[in-house]
Amino acid sequence: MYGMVNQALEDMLIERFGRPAWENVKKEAGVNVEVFITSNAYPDQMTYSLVGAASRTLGMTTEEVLRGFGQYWILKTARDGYGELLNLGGSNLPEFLENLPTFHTRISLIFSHLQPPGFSCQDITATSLRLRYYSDRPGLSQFVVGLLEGLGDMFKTPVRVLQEGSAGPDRDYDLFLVEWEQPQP
Amino acid sequence: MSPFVPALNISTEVFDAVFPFHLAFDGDLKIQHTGKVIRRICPGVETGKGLLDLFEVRTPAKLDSFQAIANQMNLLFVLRHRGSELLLRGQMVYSRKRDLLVYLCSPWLPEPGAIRRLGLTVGDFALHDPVVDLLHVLQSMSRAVEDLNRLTAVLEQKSSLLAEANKRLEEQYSELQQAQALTRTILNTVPDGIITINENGVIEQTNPAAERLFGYAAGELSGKSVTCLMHEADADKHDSFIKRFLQDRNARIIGIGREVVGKMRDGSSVPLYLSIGESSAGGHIRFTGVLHDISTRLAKNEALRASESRYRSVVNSVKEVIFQIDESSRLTFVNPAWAEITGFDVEESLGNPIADYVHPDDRHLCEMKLGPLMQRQIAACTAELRFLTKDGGSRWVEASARQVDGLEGKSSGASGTLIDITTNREAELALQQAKETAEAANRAKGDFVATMSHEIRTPMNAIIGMTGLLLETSLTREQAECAEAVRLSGESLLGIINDILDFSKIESARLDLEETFVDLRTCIEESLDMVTASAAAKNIEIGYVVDSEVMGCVVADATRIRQVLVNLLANAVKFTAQGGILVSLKVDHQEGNLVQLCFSVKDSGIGIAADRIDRLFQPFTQADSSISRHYGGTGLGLAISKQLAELMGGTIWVESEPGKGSTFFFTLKARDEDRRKRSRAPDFTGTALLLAEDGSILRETFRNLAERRGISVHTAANPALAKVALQEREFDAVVVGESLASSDVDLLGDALRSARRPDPPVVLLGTVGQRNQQIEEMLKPAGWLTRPVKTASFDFLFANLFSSTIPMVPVPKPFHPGQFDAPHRHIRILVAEDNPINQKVAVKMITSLGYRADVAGNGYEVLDALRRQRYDLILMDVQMPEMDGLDATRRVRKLWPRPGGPKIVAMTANAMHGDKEICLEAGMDEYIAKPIRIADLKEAFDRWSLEHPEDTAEDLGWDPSPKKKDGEGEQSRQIDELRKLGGEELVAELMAEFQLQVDSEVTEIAKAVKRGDFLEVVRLAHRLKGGSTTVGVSGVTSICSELEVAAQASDRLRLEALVRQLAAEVRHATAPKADGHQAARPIRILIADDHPVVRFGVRRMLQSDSKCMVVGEASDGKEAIREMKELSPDILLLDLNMPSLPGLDTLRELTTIQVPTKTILLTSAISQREVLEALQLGARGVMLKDAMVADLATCVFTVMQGHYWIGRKPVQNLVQVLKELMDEVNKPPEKTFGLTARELQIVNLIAQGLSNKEIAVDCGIAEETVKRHLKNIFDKVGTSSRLELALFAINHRLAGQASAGA
Repeated sequence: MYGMVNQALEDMLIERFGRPAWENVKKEAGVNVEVFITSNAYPDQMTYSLVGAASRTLGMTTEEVLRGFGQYWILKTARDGYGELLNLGGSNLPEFLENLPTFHTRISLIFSHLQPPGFSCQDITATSLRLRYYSDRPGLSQFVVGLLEGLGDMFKTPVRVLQEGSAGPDRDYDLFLVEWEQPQP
Repeated sequence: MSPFVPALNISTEVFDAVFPFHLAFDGDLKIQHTGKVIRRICPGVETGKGLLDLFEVRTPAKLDSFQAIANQMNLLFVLRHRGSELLLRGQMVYSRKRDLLVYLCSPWLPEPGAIRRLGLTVGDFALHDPVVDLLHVLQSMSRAVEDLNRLTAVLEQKSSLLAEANKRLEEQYSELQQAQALTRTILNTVPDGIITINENGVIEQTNPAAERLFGYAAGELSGKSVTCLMHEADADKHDSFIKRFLQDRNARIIGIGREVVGKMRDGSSVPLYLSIGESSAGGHIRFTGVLHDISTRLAKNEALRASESRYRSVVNSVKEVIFQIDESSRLTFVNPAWAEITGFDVEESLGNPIADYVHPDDRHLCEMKLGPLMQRQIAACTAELRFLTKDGGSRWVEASARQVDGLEGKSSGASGTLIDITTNREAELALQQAKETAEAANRAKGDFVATMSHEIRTPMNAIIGMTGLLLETSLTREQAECAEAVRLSGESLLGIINDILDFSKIESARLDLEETFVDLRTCIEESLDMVTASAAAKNIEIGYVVDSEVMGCVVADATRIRQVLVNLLANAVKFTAQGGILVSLKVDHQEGNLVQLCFSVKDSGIGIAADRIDRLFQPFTQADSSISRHYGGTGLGLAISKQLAELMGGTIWVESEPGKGSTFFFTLKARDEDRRKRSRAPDFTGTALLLAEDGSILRETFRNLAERRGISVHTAANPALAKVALQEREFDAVVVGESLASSDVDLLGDALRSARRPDPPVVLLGTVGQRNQQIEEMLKPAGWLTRPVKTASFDFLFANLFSSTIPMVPVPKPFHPGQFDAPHRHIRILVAEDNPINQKVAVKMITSLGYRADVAGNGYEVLDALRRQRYDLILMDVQMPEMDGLDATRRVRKLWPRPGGPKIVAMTANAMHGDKEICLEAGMDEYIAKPIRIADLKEAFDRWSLEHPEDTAEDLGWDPSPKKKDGEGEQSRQIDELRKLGGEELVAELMAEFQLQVDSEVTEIAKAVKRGDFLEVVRLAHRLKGGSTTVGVSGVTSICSELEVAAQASDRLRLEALVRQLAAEVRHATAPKADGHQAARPIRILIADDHPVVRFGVRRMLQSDSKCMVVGEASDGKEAIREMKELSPDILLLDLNMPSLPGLDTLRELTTIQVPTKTILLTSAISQREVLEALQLGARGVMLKDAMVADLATCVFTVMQGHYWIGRKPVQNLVQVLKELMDEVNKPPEKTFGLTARELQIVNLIAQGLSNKEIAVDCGIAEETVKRHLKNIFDKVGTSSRLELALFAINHRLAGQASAGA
């Protein structure tokens, strides 16, 4: 994972629980990094360890940590740090979701070690679509749910995310039904 | 061109999608075609518009024509849209087919935000367009910069931490260096040797002490094997120790010290205490040994053992017990003497509480002493107590114990000694008994002396009195000289006897101090009086000053203070030839109400040599035996004074220088108890006096007195100075000493006339009995004072002189014998009357007519009375119980027929016809109707006198109904009425009573007016009005009425004026009247004394005064009673101590018969209790025999006036005196003679006359126990019979009120 992910996790935990809690999480996770370099790739395990440690030391489930992190990623990290680029992704939720593959393509050109997840939209209607999430990294489906909910918030579109299927031997993606209300004009 | 391009044949839409920002323009630079997005974002861009109108070509420069642009197509073109400032970046392409130049471009976005500002979306860009990617790169760069900033911050923080850490390290390094230096210093200076060896036993390091210890030079030991410092056997052990340690790391001596023997360089041995430590560094083990030379300690231990052995042998051999106890008082050590004294085995005693061995009776004492010691409240204690012995007996020991300090200041018990003092104790007891016996003998001797002195004094009084009387008769010169010598010798002898009596009384502790309110100034003045005459004879000035702090009144023994003062004054007069004597009084100190007073008597006499002063206060000693020969005296005076001063809680001393005079000081303790009792000095503030007097002491006395009253005193020592002063300022009065005046009376007269205030009032200051007519005529004094100046005269004189001021001190009224002159009639009258009120009225009326009468309550009593004595006249009530007047008359006539029998006058309320006849028929002579009137009585008496002219020879023409003087007004009329009702006596009694209270009431009124308490003024004025009405002081009455009105109107000014008037009126009304209402009638006196010399003396003393007449004598109480009934005298002089019936018993008997006689007890000495009892039994006076020559007549007159007399002076306030006497008598005993509560209870019961059996029942104890107690009591108080004990108890107030009566 690139440093920006760990950095975002650090920011979230510090913002919500304070620096001592973060130091504790780092200590628990065995991570001894003072500053995460945004465009530097770090082992995925480090991120997993941090999430696991946060879950243990802060009394939350991993899923809660990930889902919260997904929301934080969109609403704080992405919007504050990459807001203009995010805007380029689309002017509303379905458009954004449709542009998501191109978005990741562009980023992966810049970050050479990026292993971006894949997204594809199916069954697109005016108020719903089905999103397929392809990733080499296991266990991040709740992170995706958080991301989608964060996007809903960003576009001021109440959204409901239902995981309809998980990656397994018979499929290589997680399947989410994303439903939304028509945004207010 | 490759055929491929045309073949693409792309549509405009596709071209537009691929190049959404393109611009196509023709040769005129007119826009022919644009992409849809550029049209949207660049306002004005449309077909036909000039390219350069809309865009500025930024690069390449200076291109302003189609051809020029076409020529530069190989270059990158940047155009700026003039409307939006948007930069476009792209390249030019020529289309031959259309002869157009096409600018294929994208917007140049310097930062991601520009997208939003241009209103672009991602869909506006062709997919191939890298602009969006470029933005991502820019964003990443921005994030990278943020990362760098964060890293920089972290680095800075780390750098700062590192700098701090570095600083700390440097500090630690510095400390380490210091520690190393310290360690080096310690190593170099420590007295113990320190040697470090490696694991091979090679010495690596030594300190100088180690080198010294073993006798090596510095550095010599390094590199040597440590075994060189050991003897061979130890060296072997050492090697095996190292080997074993390196194998199993188990060191038995690491950290543990042990004693070893070291080998010195010269091979000799040194005892050492070795401690070894181990350290490991750099993979090497080192051992460090610390070596302490213990040769000195071993030597000390040896010495200690020897000392211990010596100590033990000493402890074991001493006779005294040496013990130690722990904090629980259990014995932890005793030496063998313990077994010798107590008989208990040492070993079996250890561990037992020491108190177990103390006699049960002394255990409490033991605990009292040991308790505080064990609790560390005291450091040591001693006690004498008994220890039990094994054989059941006990031994007296003197025990002493001292705390033993434990750790941290805690007690770890005590140690001490027990010394057997049984033998001493027994000897002491014997000694004590011997001492008590000796003291008892001494007391008995004292008692004997006191008794003897008393016995001697009584006839001595007679000798002196008689001689005085003898001297008043006509004697030849020789006879007079002899008689004078007898009188002087008698007085001298009496003085000596009095001294001896006092001394022996004090010696035998029988002198009890009296406690009364003492007016200190009066006390000093009275003392000065005693020496005034002798001082005047020697022309010595005397005076006194009282410090301003001294209170007016204290509670003390006035007699004893006077006695000391008089003694010192008499000595001062005796030893002073010229100059003066000054008495001073000041307060030494005061604590609460206890005040220490210091009197001093300073003279300008011969003085006393320093080496004689010590002997002064010893009895029978004078400073020089030659003094005794020259000046006389027993030498007891100062010894008595010393004893008295000490008895009064003070001391006496003298400061003297031969030739310069002496000052005797004496102190005493008194109670400053009741401020109300303080005499109130009048306030003359604002007045100024000139004192023209040449005597310095008088000046000082006068100034002291005057300034205390607020008077400003200016002094002048001669007439010239007086003149200057009088001209300089105004004086309210001038006090002139007679001796000064006589030095130049003309100059003084002139000075007074020419004074700034002309003719100020003059007060002459003279000597008693010496008046200078010439001076009086010249100066015309407004008043006189005699020296030494007395407070009362001073206050009286100046209160009158400064008339606006109220005199606060009642001026003592001089007793004037003429005042009491009474008519003398000798008719023996008996009043027979059953009603007590009528009895009183009749007696009063008879008394008022100048007669005396006895009273009988019924006919039987009349007959009894007639059997006892002859009566001239009987006033007989007709109706009486038991035997009425008629029956009684008949019997009288039968027994004592006429003539010769008494005249009987009937008194009856039955004013009916026939009554008179019945009376006369029964044998009565006359008849008067009730209520009886004085006039009727007078007529009856007159008739009797006419009938018996021979019996009225002594009638000196007294007019029983004196005419009132003109102008006396209402007051006189009222007094006459009173006189008619109750006789002169009643008037006198009421006036005396009025006088006693009026002064204080006037003062109270003045005070109430001053503080504006008008209600109180009304109340007081009303009360005073009542009193004044009764005694007929009408002037006072009317002022009181006005006071009431003024007070109700709150008229302060008027009230103040009235108060002044009232004061003046009271002075006037209570002032002694020169003319009495009574005509001259001698006071009839009966003397009862067992001593014929006393009777004779008294008769002569009184007969020399024409106002008194001794009508009879009696030698004991019984005779006195008989004579009383017979003679009905005005005064009975009754000796307290007589055989047959002592004075008090006589007095008691007298209460049962009704005589109007006033009794004066005569005594040489009397206790407070006896005085109280005498007063309670109706005595009006208690006269000291030694004062009779001087005061008897005054005492008689005082008592006749209705006042009381006690000791040597009249009583001012009887109620107060009675109260004080009762307080004194009822005070609990001061001494209980070591009697226990139970014993005191038994003494009390014995004094009440109870038997042992009754006492046993009363106390709830066995009769045997009572007997045992009684034996103890006898031993303690020194009596041998119950009667003696009862008397002792009463005399020492050991018995209560009930028993006192018993």
